[in-house]
Amino acid sequence: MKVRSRFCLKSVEKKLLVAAVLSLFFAVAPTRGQVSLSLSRGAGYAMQRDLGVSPISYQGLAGRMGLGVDVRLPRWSIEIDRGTLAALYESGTFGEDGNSMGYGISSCQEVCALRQMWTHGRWLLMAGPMLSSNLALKLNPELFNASFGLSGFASLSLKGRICFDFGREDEDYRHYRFRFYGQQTLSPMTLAVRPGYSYIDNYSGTTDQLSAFLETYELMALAAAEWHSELGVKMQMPSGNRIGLAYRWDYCTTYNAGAWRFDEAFHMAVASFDFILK
Amino acid sequence: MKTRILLLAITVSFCFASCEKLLMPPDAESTPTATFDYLWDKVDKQYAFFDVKNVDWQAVYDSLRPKVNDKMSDDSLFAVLSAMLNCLDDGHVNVVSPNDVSHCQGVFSRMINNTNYDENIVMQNYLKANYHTTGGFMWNTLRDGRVVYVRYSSFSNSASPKYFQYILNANPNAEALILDMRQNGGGSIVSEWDLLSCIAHPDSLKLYTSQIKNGPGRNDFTTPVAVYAPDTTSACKPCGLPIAVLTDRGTYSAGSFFTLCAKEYPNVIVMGDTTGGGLGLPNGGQLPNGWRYRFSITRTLANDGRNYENGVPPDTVVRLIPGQTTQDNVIEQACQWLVSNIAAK
Repeated sequence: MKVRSRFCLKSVEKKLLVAAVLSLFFAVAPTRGQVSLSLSRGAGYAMQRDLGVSPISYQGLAGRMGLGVDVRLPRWSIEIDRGTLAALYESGTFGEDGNSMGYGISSCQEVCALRQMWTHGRWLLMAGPMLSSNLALKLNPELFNASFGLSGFASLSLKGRICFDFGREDEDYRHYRFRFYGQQTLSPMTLAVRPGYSYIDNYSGTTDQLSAFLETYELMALAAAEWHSELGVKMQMPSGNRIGLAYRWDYCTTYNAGAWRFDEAFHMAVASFDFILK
Repeated sequence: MKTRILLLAITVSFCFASCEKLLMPPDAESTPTATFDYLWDKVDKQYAFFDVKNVDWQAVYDSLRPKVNDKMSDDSLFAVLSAMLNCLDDGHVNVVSPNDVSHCQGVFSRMINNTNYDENIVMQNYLKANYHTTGGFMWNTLRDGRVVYVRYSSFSNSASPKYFQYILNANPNAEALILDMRQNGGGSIVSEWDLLSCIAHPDSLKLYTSQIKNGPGRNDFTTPVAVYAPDTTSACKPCGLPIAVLTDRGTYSAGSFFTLCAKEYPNVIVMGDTTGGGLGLPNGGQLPNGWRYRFSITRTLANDGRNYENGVPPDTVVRLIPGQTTQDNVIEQACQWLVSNIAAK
């Protein structure tokens, strides 16, 4: 019964996402705003250390797929992004014989509203709040019953972005060919759920397995637990569509708030494609 | 002003971006001394059975720590770590290096020296040449088909209810069953539930309670969770026949769990020797030098409130008669009990 309700929840989440996108689209339709669909693909370096199972940092390769919607209004930009991230880790020095291997997959959602704070010539500064969630599944098959770990982070963040336009100016559309941007996201408040002291679910019997799931996990409130940086450049095509290339850094930690400190970082090169819908 | 502060904040934060190493404490040292201390500390804070193992863990540290130094070889370190974990006398405790896996010598010795099972006798006189193999079960009939003898040697082998049902269907005249779990060293706990789901039981039959270590103190455990008999499945009609479960010191881990549970079923009797124990779920982790370990972090309490980590006693103690080469005394007594039980009904 619980499994079914979980699937229902997932289905509801999807419907809500579609409804949100459609609402934004129609809300902006009568205005001078612009709606674009953003696809991104990234690859790079991943690092994690979970003191619940190992004092050693794991390093490896990661890939990210993103799908988002950006709504640009005269003074605001509303951005929704949904990403899936997969990583393959090794303990110790990457590529050495005898290393333990781990796998991770995570699902991230972000919604942010950036307000135009300042403009000066080709410079633009935007800032605003962001809500994000990140649910990650970690597998390390060699660690017996501790081989499975679930981590969930939900954050309220502040995001700031500096843009600089350069290149030839398109007089018809009043924009420059290239835009360099740098953005920072810091989370003043994060709620995290992580495996607790035992790092194991109390699956002592089949009848209790579902109800015992997450029983031994712990919930914690953290300050400055997530940090994201991005430096990139976007090129605007004559059609209005944009292609971009960026370096992205994501870091999250539980500090020493829970039973076991958890740190995770990604360094990625991300290619993005923005298709103008309106 | 606000804009300047914002600009400054973004610019300054870029100086620290991408430098997660600055924000994280360094990895633990991977020296032999650091590895020894790490494992000792992990066991000290998370191992679930200090109360029943009678181990002075601090004394273990005091005696073995001087034998560790940062110039020692990996093999020497492995030997010291193995010796340390051996003190726990627990078959669920291991350290795993690239070249070796430690094991509990006490459990191994008891399993081998106190075996209550002779495979040759069973194969030649009970399973015989015409035995059947159904899933993970080997079986044949005894006493003119009135008793079905089922040998289940490992919980790593499938105990799917459909196989159990096949055996019952193949022997419609069977009046009793022997489940031979001797020298069954355990395996998947799922197989245990599969097998238990084939046995008829009253509603809400409580089997045991389980607790997880949730703090560094010796008595830091979660609230006890009661575990009940699993629901029967459509794959197997619940078996209400009298069942004798045979055990010995080699019945370990999932084998001991099964024995503990089976004792609660009204139509089951456990005969043979005390099991090897192993009623905690082992959890794993990694050491600073990259080796791995595991030890038990849960405990299981029987319905009488006792912790049978060191072995589940049988309802009736029966041992092999030394020198017997054609008869298994445990199977014979089980047959006798089952037949007399049938007759009494």
